[in-house]
Amino acid sequence: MDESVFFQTLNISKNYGPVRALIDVSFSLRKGEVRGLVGENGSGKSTLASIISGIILKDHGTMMKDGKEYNPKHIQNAYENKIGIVTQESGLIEDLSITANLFLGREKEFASAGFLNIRKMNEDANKIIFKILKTKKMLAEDKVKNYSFEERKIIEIIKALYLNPEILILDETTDAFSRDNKKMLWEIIEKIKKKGVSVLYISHTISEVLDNTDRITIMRDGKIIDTIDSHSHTEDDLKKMMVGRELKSNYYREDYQGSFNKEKIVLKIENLSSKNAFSNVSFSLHEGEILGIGGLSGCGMSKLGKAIFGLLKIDAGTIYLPIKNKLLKNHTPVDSITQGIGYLPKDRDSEGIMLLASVKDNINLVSLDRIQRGFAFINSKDEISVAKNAIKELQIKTPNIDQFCIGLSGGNRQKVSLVKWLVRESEILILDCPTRGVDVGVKAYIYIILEKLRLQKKSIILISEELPELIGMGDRILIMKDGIIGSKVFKREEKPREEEIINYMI
Amino acid sequence: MLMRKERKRLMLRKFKRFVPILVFILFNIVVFIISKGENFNLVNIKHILNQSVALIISGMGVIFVMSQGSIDLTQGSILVLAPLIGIFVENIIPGSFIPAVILMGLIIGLSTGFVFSILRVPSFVATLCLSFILRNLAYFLWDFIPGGYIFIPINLFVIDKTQYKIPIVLFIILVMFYIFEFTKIGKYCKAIGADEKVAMYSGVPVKKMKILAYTISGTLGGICALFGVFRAGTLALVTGHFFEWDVLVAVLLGGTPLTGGTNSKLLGVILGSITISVINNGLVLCNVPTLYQQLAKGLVLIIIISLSFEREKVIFVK
Amino acid sequence: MQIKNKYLSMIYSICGVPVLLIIFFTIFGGSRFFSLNNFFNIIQQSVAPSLVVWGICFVMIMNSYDMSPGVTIILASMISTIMAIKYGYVGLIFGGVMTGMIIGTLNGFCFLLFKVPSVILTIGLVMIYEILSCMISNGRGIYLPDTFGRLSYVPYNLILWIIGGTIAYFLYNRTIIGLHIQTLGSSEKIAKNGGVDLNKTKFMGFLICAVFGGLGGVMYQSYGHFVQPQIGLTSLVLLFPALTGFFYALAISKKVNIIIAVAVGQITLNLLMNGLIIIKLPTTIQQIVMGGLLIFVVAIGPRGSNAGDIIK
Repeated sequence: MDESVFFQTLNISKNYGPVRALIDVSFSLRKGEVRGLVGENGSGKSTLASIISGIILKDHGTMMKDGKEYNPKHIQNAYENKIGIVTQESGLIEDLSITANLFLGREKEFASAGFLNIRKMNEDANKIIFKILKTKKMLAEDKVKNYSFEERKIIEIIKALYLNPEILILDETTDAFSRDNKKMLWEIIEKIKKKGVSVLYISHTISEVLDNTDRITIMRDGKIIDTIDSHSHTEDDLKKMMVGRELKSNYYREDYQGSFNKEKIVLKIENLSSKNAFSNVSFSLHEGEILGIGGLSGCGMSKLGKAIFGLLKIDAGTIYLPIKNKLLKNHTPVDSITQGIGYLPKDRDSEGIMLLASVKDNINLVSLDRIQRGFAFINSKDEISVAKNAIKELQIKTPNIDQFCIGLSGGNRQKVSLVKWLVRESEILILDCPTRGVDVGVKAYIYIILEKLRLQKKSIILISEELPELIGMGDRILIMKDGIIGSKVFKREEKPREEEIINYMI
Repeated sequence: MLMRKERKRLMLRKFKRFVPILVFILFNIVVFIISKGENFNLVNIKHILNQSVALIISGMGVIFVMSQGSIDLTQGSILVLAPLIGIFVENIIPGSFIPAVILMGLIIGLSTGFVFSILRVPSFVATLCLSFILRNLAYFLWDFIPGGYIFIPINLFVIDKTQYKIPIVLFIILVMFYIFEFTKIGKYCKAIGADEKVAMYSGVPVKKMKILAYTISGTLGGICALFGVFRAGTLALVTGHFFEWDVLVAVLLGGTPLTGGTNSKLLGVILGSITISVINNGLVLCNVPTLYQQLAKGLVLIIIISLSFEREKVIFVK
Repeated sequence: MQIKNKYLSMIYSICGVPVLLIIFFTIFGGSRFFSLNNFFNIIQQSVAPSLVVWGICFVMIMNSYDMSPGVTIILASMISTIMAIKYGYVGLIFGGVMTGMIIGTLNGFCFLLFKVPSVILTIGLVMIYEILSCMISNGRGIYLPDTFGRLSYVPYNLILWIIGGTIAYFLYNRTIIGLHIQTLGSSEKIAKNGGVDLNKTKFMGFLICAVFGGLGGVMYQSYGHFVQPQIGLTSLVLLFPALTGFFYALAISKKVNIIIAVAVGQITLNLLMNGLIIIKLPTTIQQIVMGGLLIFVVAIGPRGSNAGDIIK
């Protein structure tokens, strides 16, 4: 056993139903080491970080810190063990002051007879801020909401540091930082490194990780691929390791030609902008085409999908359906559906299906005006037969059609979420991460369905974070970054490779 | 793990379906014991059924609102204001009493729907305030009644007779049942209650459905007001006081959860209304002072909500 | 410059509406409205409701509702009177506080036990509490003898107002429980992860609310000298001005601390109600204005924390 190994995880596994988020992850940190952790979306980085910091519980495996077993049940346990984390989502209460946020859960230290010594709390908070930032830019008494997104991240870093952690985890903290702030952060990390603090730095900015860390761990599909020395490797090496995988042929589509009707445009988007989401997006969708849109999470592609469907306010630009000669303006989902557009949201459980309603009701909801007969009468026999056909067609595993969706597995829920648009026979489908959170079997099945739809001359916008999926299924692929669609269009017949595409995403 | 939890949930759901009937039987038995069998004679049963008519009619409308996960507390104030306006209109246009009252109910429902859906005031606050406003409006207008006293067209009292009342009520139930179970409207309402966000993403015109539900509820409140006024023969300042709470409990006792959704039962409202009438009637038969009737109602409300609350819908109860 | 702007906007939000109201009612009400005596009365009228609204803050900030302050006022009035007759002023205040503590404990306990939305739960409890008010008073009204009404006179009422406000301010901003209540109201998830005891915090919220309600009841009784039991949920009527006061304070609270906003809001509301009386608006119409005002204040107010209500 390496003497300087300070923290390690042994064979950690975490499953979400059929989805294996972490598979046998064994990982170790040395004291005073700055370790980068990179990988694509869904590779398991955040899951690993969450397990180490006690936010979620592992299924199998052990963790050891300083030679003793470490098994946090709650984020407080991690704090007690001197492990701090700055999560991707904000962990601050914006209506409270920086002081209140810094000392949340630890107010007892400043209390006497139930009353807080606010003055002392503010003093101490200001001291801590000054000690770490070396400037008086931030006042502890101020409310967090007065500060920008970047500054709030800095506050969260200060909050994690104030505990004097022995291990500090930063999960995609600085991806939006300015150069000055990044410089300041790395200076802080250098300082604490000298004191023996280990830092786990999760990021998408490969160059930054290479320049500033000692070693880098690469993850892919829930497994650790390798841990390499930062100084003896290049960006290309890293990218190869992040995406290198064997693509099974016939998993996706069988053809290698983009075979859609280049003359027939079904949807034309021009200069579409939505505040704080995306700007100046323009593209055309053709009949029988699968148009892939890829990017990192937060790049704006999900919001783009919502906006086209009518769920997000559009500030400028047009959405035009040439074949129907219809302009969609200030439209609602009802309008979109009437025009033949369907939308599969990314967040299945809270946006895609009603968990506390039956499979039958979920499937039929979108198509009620088609199922109904005269006098607005909806025959329950019709409802049942439509639902049964849909279940058969997609092989949805459910004991019966009246089963509430909350009792279905993730993959079957996704099938329900998708099949309702097939029943509706929507001609244009916007699918946001349709194979997210499902096992390989269901994934393959969904690809078969998408291929069938394509052959039926339906048009699909496939929004996805998974490069293999985009490459495997897309006729054309557009990449979005920070709300802007890149000009480079990847065409199927050119057989684009992951390594090429990822350059445009990061 | 998933199967065990799901089996438990399925069993719980199957059990919850029988709660309304069990409660009904339970109360009947309790009253039977305490009143020494006085409750099971024809006169009394007829009395109970008569009392439940108002609750049933109002409940047929309120179920649309409650299936969306909202509540309607304006029913009681409609019972007093709609007929009042009807009297004013009758004075101007003779013979228009009945349509005027129903129309007034519709307008009130529409306004409530507007405040709730467009102004986005939570239904509890919106309907509580509106019931307050409407009742005070009735008080205000009371001084302006033409002739100075309440005059309901006597020839219309015949409608209260059983041979007319029963077919009308049955007709209302059938129509509402049809709309709720066999048309888009009912299914959209249930979807909004099950998950409003998903409903919107699935093309349900949520804002419009919210207004529609309250309009239906208000219209049926107007119809209920008619029956109330014909039965009582007159209108008083206290007409309809506390009525909305009885309707709320009737719908809940009928098996509809507070959060609405797919488990909303329209026909259950009938059973729930009769159960409340049984409780009211039973309290009288057992010589319970009027005071404690409210106590009983409060307890029933708390208990039925605890039983029927679908906890899976919320992570944090507020 | 930034600080100057901050203070300016603070002054606007505090004084904006009151100034408009004063101008409006002076035009229509003349010197009956615009007199030092009248204004002083208005301030005195704000004491009792302020106490109640301060209490409501501690529950509403957590995104829960409490419908019981109305009946708490009634019960507190009764019990404090009964105790005043026996034990003097000490009994008066103690009776109010004790009533509040009992009701608050019951509310909090039932909320944690039954785990159903507080809005309906507290209505059910109000139905029960109202019956208690009838039982205690044997169905008749209770008079507070004049000798015990001194709390409603100047300077005692103003002193109590300031004391109440100070306690509310410290509780809200300077105690652990106050901070935890604010945290919970902002994000239950972050609060839970930060180690806040959710159950204890919610319970304390209901308790503090009821105690302030009890004190409010004492003041109402000191002013009016008479309390009557009410049934049929008519006690909810007392809640309207309180809720309106709260939501108005919430609307201003972006610029001003909410506890101060409550006091300001009460004065503003009373300006309005007083003005309506002076221009001889019928009582029923006043009530309608009150109801409409609540809808208005909720409609225009900040809505973030109410999104995703259980009862929509």
